[in-house]
Amino acid sequence: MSGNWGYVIAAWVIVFGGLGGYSVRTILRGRSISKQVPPEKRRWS
Amino acid sequence: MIRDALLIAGKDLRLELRSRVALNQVLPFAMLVLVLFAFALDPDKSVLTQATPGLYWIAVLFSALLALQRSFAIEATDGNRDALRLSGLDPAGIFLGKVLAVSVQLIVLEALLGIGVVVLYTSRIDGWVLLAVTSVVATASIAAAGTLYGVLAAGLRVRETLLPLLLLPVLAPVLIGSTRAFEAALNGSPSEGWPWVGLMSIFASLYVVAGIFGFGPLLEES
Amino acid sequence: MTTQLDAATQVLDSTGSRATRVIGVFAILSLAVLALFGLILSPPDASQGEVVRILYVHVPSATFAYIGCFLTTIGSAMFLWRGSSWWELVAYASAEIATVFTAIVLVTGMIWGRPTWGVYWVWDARLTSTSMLLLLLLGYLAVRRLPADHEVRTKRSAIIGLLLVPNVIIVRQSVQWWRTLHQKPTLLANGVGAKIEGLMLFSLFVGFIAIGLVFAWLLIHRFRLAWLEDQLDDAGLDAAIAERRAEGETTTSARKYDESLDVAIAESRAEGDRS
Repeated sequence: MSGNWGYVIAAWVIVFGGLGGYSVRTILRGRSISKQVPPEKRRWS
Repeated sequence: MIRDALLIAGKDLRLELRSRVALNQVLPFAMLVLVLFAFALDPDKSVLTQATPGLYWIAVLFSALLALQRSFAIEATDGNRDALRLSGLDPAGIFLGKVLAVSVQLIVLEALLGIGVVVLYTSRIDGWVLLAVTSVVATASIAAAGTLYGVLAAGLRVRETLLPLLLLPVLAPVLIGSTRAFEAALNGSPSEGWPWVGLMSIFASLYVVAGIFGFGPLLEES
Repeated sequence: MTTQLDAATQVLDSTGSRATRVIGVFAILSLAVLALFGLILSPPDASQGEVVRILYVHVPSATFAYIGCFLTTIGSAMFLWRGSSWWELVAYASAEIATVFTAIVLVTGMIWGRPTWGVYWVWDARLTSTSMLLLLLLGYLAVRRLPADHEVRTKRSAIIGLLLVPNVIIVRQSVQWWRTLHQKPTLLANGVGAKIEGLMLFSLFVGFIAIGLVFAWLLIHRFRLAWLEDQLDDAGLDAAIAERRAEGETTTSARKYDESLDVAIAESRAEGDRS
């Protein structure tokens, strides 16, 4: 039973890694596109 | 609306009678799919016989994709779509007409393929009514959902790859239902198949309604 | 780095704001608490052993994937009905986040399944439905991201989004009937376990909070990113139109299009007269 810790760790790594990676990607794309858009158009209006 | 529907259905079916695309291409394609399954699965074991209802409906689904693409391809030529828009026909009627035309083609296809199913099944076939009703309801479901997503994909450059991606997941319940109903009919326990017919009726109703409302706006700007 | 637009809004060179920073901090804190309780403080399950810990992230992810789908459908409905582009952006952002969550649900489900069932995949109702959910979401995203006019993309994807929840419900129901009608309920069906209580229940609860905060945080950022992407597209479109106008005044193609339209209108008028 305790040999299953590998699966547990793998699952949690995937969750944290997946969510973290997606978050980083979203933030970075947000920054890069923000630069290309004039300031008055950067937030929803 | 009904008058317009019959007008469009008549036009599409007359076009098919003249060009015979469904007969010459879609029907052989369906048979081809069945034959390919015989190659892929081992005909000597019972796998193929057990899987026949499922394979039948998969062949119908893939053929329906072709029939639907064709239904919209004939509108894409020579500004037909503009003429359709400006013709003053009720868009809901156009939708129902196209659904009717595709349904007729599919029913004919299913009947012809069905002869093959009967030949493969040497055991008694109890549930004729179930088989027939299932076919009608499943065909209506496929045609309605297919025509709605078809017009959505029409006019886009990527329509050939987009329609299968959109339609097949949506039609998965129809595949499950029609296959289970056919199995029930062919195994001599039709009472198990009727709930599936019920589910597919709900599905068909949903998509006929969605199409009646959605077809017009989508046609406007495709 | 900071551009002062007015007193209320300050830093606009990213999609962050005070709200996202606050939510973000709480999200990270609750994730830490989740890890503490889920991995260390809570006991292993009587029958499943340690793998039950996977469920503390798996189940909340599934829940929020479905919540994302609901948001997409509601957003699509509001967009189609009221023309609200705010809701359309919510729909799009939700769908993409729901897709990420659904993928996580599938992968963690498979990892949970291997030690539990001995195989990575079974065609049980839950896994099958989740795969279908992923496919439906990918269809929505494909249409939303088409290389086409903004109006065309948003309207069509909204119709797909509107039908997303109905489709999901019908697919889940049919898959459920299919897989359970003739099977006796087995341990497979009781993935979460018949009795979950005490620290395990608390860990699951923390899981919902943590994943929920992450979902909210991602939604705000992705919404703003979607808005920025649309602004970029518009800017590109404006530039292209300006170019065409500059060169287009004297081309024959514009004249030919007008002529063909006149012919189409005359034709349909003639047809109308006839019928």
